[in-house]
Amino acid sequence: MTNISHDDLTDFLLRSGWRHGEPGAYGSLWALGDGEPVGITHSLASTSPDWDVTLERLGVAMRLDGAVVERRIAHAHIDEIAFRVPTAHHEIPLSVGLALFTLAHRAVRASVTSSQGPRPVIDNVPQGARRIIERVTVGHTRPGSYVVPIRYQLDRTLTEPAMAAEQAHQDPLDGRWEENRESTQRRASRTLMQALGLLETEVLRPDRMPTADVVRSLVPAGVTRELVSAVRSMVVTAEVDQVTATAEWATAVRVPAHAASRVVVERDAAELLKITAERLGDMKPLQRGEVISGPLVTLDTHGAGLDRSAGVSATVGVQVIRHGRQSTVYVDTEPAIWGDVNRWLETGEVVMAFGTVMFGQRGLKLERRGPLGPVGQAILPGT
Amino acid sequence: MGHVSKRAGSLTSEDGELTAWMEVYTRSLFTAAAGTLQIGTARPDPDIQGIDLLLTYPRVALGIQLKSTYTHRFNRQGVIKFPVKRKWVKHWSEQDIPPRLVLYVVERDPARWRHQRGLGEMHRVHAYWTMLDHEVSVPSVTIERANRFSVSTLAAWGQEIEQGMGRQP
Repeated sequence: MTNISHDDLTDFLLRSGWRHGEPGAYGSLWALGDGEPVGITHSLASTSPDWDVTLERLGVAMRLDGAVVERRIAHAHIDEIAFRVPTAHHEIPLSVGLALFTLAHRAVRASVTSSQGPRPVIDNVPQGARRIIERVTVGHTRPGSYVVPIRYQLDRTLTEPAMAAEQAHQDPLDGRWEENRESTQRRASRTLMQALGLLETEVLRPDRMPTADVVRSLVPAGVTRELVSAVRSMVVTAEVDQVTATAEWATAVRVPAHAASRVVVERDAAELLKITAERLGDMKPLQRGEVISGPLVTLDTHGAGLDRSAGVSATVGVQVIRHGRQSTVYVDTEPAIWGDVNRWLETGEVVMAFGTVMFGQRGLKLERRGPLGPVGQAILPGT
Repeated sequence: MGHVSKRAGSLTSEDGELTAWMEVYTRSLFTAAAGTLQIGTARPDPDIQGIDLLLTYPRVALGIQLKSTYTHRFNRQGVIKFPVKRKWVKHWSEQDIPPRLVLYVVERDPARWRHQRGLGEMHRVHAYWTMLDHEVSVPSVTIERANRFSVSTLAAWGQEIEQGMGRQP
């Protein structure tokens, strides 16, 4: 377990609804609801002798095991995606271990790249993606199954203002929606689970050859030929019947809306995965436009004073990555999808649209050619 | 304890046994006080950061350093100057709540303080305590005869650290 500072502890307690009294010479008393107060000394941290005792006390109040409390504190700003091969023993063949680490590496490489801009095939990994990949780490495996936990350390400079905005947000309408803003690392981890989740729901569960439309709908979610090939390589490895990816999202950051938290791929999916990878490889690059995707971070409604119950037109700002940089692309929305826009803002839903990005009065603007909709539901033009 | 100094005249060849006896003694007092003080457990934490035992009071824990001697005796002023190491002092000074030193004064020959009588096991030891606060420095810490370690000591410590945790939320 990484070292946990006193500030990490108190930030966690405040986020979890604990209140503290006026401090004394040694520390202060914290309570959750009407529960028994727990003493937190002024510099209590994970290196303190009374750390474990305090975790147990906090755990009693929160009805959690002390180890779970510790993990939640430590993972405040860490997204962890664990690739797992079930085994009845405390070991796996070396070849399977190697395949699992290779899967993790290839999946991270592919999804970080597609998080910077959807594409069916990865020809090269851009510099911006490389910088994120370099910061991804792997934790210790866990007994019981063989687990490779991939960790994304989230950028606090973005996540902390987003948390504050979520707590402070009063007006559900016009203005900035900072709570929906993602760090590039979260965008990468979210893209990996979003891509695997869509692969599961659209290709593996239906258990039939994916049509061109289905394959095309996977791309904006971050599915690439390389990701699909990596998953297939794992399940065709000798002695592997199944591989699982499970996400444990950072506890201090809003959980992504609709990204899968657990995806299971069985060995008998190998043929479907092979064909899906081939079809992604055969896709031609999009002509005369680009796909943008991301959460909505601003809203401006048109026609102040109008009765909004019937729907109004608006301009939304979509947080995207273009040319390796975070930016906002503004998109006009029609009254018919006003209800959807409200829901996407409230939930932090990731949406996508296709069109041409141009410089407008306010900055980047998408001249849309097709619907604006949630990733996985909207279909690219040319279908 | 493993780190008992030879200069302190401790029973180095019986370190393990003596430490166990000291834990038993402290735990016995702690158990005796548990009902009235609502104390949970005394958790052995042998010599980690200068602390051998954590006494878990209801809201906060207190670190205890256990030491023993058969050579040091109270002087005419009623104090023992017990030698301490710089690294111990450093560890103690890093604690938010000053740990307590409990010093067990025993005879050199265990046969003189351990007796079996009938079905009972009798231990003739006496212990004294001091607070390991920022006043403590090398080469020694002062322990007063008046600070006899007893059940009432545990109650007094509990009150003192409770007050140091401020007001209820």
